[in-house]
Amino acid sequence: MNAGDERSSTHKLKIPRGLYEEIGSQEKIIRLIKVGLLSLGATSLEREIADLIKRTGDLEKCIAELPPEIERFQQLLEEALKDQKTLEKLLDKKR
Amino acid sequence: MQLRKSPVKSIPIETSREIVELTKELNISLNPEGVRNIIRLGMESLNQEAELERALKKLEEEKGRLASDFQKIAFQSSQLEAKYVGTRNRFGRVSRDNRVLAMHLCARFPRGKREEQLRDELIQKYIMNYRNT
Repeated sequence: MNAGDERSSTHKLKIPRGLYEEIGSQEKIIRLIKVGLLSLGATSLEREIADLIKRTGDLEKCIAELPPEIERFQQLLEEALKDQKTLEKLLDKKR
Repeated sequence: MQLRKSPVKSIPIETSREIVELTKELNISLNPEGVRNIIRLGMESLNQEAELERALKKLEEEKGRLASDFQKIAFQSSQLEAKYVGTRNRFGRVSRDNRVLAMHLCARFPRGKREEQLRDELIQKYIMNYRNT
């Protein structure tokens, strides 16, 4: 097989003969394949969209939960820093 | 001698570049079995080619919009997550340092009631009730 034959064979669709005869014409086959592929593409996009909606929802939930937790740790940190000063002062006094 | 018919019939698809493009986009192979499944799907579809093309375009647009929203929210979430982890870790470090200081304080005697009260509170907090974050 030369390069030209190889190239042309990649641009050919192999249709099961029974199916070809059932449909009857090349044009109809091409049209059905296109409709089938477009339908598959739409289903695939719908799934991707559903997945994106779910992932966005999960992130929104996380965004809503984090600020109160940050606030809680900020208050604890402020308190710990205040205690640190007191501890240092108490230890320093005794030296 | 009678020639046996091939079980498949080849048809050129040069005229339908869209098919090649669509198979690439969907990452599927159009072997005889794949072709059979796609043709069945085409037969079962209640929509016409033009309707499907319009729907696909709309879905692409919606996906693009959602993907862009998702990226914005993901950025916001990662910023908050970083702030949360940073604050929590800093609190953990200061608490551990305070625990060490409180241990040093255990070995000292307080001078006065106020100092004794402070000392007891801090020892209680950073040694007796200490909890790792």
